[in-house]
Amino acid sequence: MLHVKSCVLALTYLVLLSPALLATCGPAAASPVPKPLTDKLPGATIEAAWSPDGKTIVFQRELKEDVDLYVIPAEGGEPRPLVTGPDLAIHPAGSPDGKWIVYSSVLFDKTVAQGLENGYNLHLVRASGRSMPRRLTAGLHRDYTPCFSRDGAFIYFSSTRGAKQNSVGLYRISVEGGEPECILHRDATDVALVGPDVAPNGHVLACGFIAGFRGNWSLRLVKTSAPHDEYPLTETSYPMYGPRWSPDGRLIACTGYRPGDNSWGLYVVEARTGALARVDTGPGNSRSPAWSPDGKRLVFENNRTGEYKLYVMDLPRLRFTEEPKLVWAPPQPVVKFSFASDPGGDTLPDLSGRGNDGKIVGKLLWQDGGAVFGDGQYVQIPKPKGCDFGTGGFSVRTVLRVDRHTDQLRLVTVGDYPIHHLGWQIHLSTDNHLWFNSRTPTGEYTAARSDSPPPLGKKITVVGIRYPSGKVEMFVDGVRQSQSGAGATMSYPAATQIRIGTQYSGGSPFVGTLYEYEVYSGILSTAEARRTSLQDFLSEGDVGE
Amino acid sequence: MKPCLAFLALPAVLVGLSCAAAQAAERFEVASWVDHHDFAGVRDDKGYVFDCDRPEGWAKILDHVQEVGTTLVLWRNCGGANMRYQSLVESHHHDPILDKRRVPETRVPWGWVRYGDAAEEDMLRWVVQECGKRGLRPGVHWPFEETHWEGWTIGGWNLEHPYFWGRTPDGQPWWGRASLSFPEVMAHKLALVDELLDRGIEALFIDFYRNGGWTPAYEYVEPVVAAYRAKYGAEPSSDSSDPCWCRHVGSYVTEFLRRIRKHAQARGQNLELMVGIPGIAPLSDEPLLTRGADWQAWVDEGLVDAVVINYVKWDPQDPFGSMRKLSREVMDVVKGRCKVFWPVQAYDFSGFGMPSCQKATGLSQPEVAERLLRMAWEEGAHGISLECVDYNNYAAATRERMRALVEGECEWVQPVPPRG
Repeated sequence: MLHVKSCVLALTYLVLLSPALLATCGPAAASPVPKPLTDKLPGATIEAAWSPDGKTIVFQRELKEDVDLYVIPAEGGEPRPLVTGPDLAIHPAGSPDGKWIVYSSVLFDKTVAQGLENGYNLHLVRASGRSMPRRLTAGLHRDYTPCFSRDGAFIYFSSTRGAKQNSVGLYRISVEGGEPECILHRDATDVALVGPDVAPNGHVLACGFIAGFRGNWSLRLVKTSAPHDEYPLTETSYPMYGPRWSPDGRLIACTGYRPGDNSWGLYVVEARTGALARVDTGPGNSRSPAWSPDGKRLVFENNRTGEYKLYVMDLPRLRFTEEPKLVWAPPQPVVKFSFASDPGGDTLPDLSGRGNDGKIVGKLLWQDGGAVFGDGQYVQIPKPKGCDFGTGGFSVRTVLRVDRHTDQLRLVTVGDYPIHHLGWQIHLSTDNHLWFNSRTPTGEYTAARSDSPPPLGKKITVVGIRYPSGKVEMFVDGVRQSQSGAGATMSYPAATQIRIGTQYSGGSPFVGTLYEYEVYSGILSTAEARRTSLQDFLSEGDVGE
Repeated sequence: MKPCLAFLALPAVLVGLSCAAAQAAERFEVASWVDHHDFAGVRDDKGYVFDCDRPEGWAKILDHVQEVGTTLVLWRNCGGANMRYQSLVESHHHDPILDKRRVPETRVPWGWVRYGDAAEEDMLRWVVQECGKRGLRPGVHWPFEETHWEGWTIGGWNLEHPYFWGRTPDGQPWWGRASLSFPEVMAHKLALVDELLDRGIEALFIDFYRNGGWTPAYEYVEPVVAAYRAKYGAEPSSDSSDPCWCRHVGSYVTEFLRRIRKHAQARGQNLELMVGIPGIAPLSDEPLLTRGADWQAWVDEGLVDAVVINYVKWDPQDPFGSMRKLSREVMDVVKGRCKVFWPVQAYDFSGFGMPSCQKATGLSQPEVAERLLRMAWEEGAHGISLECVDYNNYAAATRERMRALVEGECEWVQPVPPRG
């Protein structure tokens, strides 16, 4: 957006177009026109889901503070009520055999002070409507955005249950009922996994993900058999949410907005590449797409008339674009330490060639290819050369392990400058999240935060990047963390010192193990910060086969 | 003036003189910020003390708030962009689950209070009417924010208009605030003001401490950048704390206040516009650089009726002396052109509230509160600002002592003493 001189000086890059850029899919035809489906039904009609036989569509209708579920023939016609009454019924989803609809609902018949007992909980009802709804979950939680597993035995859903912070995790429950099982829940403020949809092969699910109120929703892939194995499918620099797999598993439709768009729109993501295509649906916001069983049509909601109504349209010819890839000469480290073995003595040799040897203070414990830090042990680099970044970009990379969480501030490293003792830092905060911070020109703290506390007893790679634009980002094991900072354009003069394992003045010791440590006068590329490719991630999942 | 008209003007002069006399006997105000959300979780052995979904609960809150001698109730209208009354143009507090883009608030009971649905009592309308019955001036505490630092507070209007969202210098959208530079956003804000005026509020207090994480760093939207280019013939600095950029961004906030004032005037309603500025003294550019709040320009232009000192950065070595000196600096800038409220702040997130003062002086809360109240009164402040009156955070003894003072010795505003 802006001309940033220092950025130009720091980077020489080429924009390469991926071969996937011009990939197309779908029938070659003139742009299809969305056909209104619920325009004659008063109220907002949203959150549609297609039946497996393709004949009907179930949706949520909002009218005068009431929210009910309706079913309508996919080719248009008279809608029939499915779930009505004083409760609010939302987010319907059909079972693979077409017999059941799962949804979330709440009945506010008491105030909380009067003893409200249940919140938004899951219920099952026959798709035919010829049965009373059956409660599946209970309690003062928000259980929402359910979907069936591909074999129909389980229901995946998002829930606030068990949360101590304002967070949402992924859960599943047997269609027979019982206790919900937590699949993945990072209980930190504003960290949420919402709107799961299981891939046709059943191995991977996609969902919307956000971490922090400064973040954007993005799409995340999660392995159903190993939920902690996840992959960020879309960038966090623009919002994407509400993923739905195409029946052949090659594509994911979702709702998104990218700078330059004039509305929320439907996007289709190629699962194997992450390449995006926006679907032209005409004026107004378009949201919440769902596929027809043959994969040739989408149903979605659009507000061109001033109120959200459902529309159906043929899938148009798609033009995928990948994010431009930045390629440049990678920066050279100005500090590089390996903690693989005891160097002997109190000097830690700098492997960068800049002569920034570290002074070891206290007795480090060298074991298992790393150095164990604790109270009283740290490494100091007095007057390090090459750390006068000015307003340019820089990166700090470290490989570390944490063995226990505490409620204490712990400094992994700090860059101490004459203008600010805490110029930049990687630290574990009292919330046990990892933070990487830089500062504004007036010294205000500006930081990126890890999506969750680091896993205990596991070696992880942490990369913090300050861009010339003032953006601050963090990668953990190659995954860009959602909460970034902006405005960190402090101009760094020559540094007073770098400390590793403690605060600049000696307090707040890091308790854990360090394996590698590097500082770069430049920006590590996304590729360098990221470890796993999407292809690697999916190779175990047979997605799109 | 023609002689015959001069005769006609005589009564007006007399009325003016009587107004001046009335001004001299102006009531010293106690402006209590009331975040009823903070009463929802109060329990005793019988259960929740305040039912924040029902008028009985709201009445109990007002009873408690009156114990401190309150004259002006600044009732919180929202959390972020979620309104706590039946707004027709914005989200209602219990809406988040209905829009899966929000991260719902999980806490019991706070995440489940609904502050009235359509079929029930409109809380804000009820509170305004109840204040009237009790002889209290009704106002609204409206934070200059759309997020309140939490995803669940982001409003439906905001979510529906991503093309108005803030932008970082590198163009990344942020849903935390829709930019006031877009006419549609301004119109939406004024529609919210309409909803407050419709309910009969007399004072609108815009709190710039609660800015929901917004700063000029998120204002690199096309209209603002284009206007900057046109004005300065250059690209704005990507350093979002650049004073020139911040002044430019601040001009949109100033225009916002201008529009609110004109809007209320056009409706023929007498609305007292109050602004709260954190860290206002020692005087510096900080409010402008971090919040786009050019408050001195607002006073110069006559845009605001009251400046509320959220806190000043007093010296722990001389808490009361430095507080007096720093707050005087604000009075000297204002020069009587609008009201000034001094803080008797129960909250201590800044490190400059009463708890820190108690720590620095060794005095009890009632003693500190009395010293602060008296100081404000002695220096000619129009009143004091209480952030916030929660359940018992102004202790019973404090409430008793403050009420006795403002209903007795400190009942009327003092003339501003001459400065030496």
